Amino acid sequence: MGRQAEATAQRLRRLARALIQDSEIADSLVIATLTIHEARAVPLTRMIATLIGLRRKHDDAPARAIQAHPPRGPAAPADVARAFEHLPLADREVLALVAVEHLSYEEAAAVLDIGFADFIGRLTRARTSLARVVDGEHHVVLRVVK
Amino acid sequence: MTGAVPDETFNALVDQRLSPKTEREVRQRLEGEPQALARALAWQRHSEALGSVFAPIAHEPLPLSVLLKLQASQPAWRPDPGMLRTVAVFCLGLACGLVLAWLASRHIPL
Repeated sequence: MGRQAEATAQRLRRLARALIQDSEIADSLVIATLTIHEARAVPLTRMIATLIGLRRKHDDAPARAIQAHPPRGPAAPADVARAFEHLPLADREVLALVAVEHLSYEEAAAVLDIGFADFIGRLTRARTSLARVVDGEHHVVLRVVK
Repeated sequence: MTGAVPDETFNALVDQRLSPKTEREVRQRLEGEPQALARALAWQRHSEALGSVFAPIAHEPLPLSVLLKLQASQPAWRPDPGMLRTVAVFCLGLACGLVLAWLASRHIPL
């Protein structure tokens, strides 16, 4: 089995996990993506676009209740990840492509099939939303209630 | 626009995708806007946090289901035509050499 094919599958898994919390569903999205591009050498960005298309067909689990806590120091990575989970899928997509997959803005816009200006607007909105949830516009830290 | 800087440039600053010269210029422009600079730093922290949280997943061993899928997706091995040609020429040369050696051993007295 090619090392490159494995590396591609690992990157697809990482992206899938960023876009959906359930690891089994994430793996099934990766397998479905690999099935669609069966044994064909296609660019990674095309596989990513396929995976995102498949992810959009899945409904998100109902958002868990969140509760305000008094402010603390700078948010820890786990806090940021929790806040990220609460963003709409469109926001998670742009952030995952840039911050997790490190695609160029042009590549990410092409993956999402949107214009460059739209992409920049969406990225700015997603970052604003994430910051609002992480830091809290009203100086609260949002925490997940289990 | 994010303050005095276009959104594209502001995001590129956050993602550290500006050339050193442009980054210096942008930081100078943001010096008069502490709120924008703080926002850039916060966004940068958030991006780095997301990168660090998800990075280990790309190094995890693949689950069996994905490995099996990858194996099934591999095309059946087909020899490269160029390699086949090379092997054929080698075998032909070897056969000719053996025949010549055999003929020589029969007709040239030792």
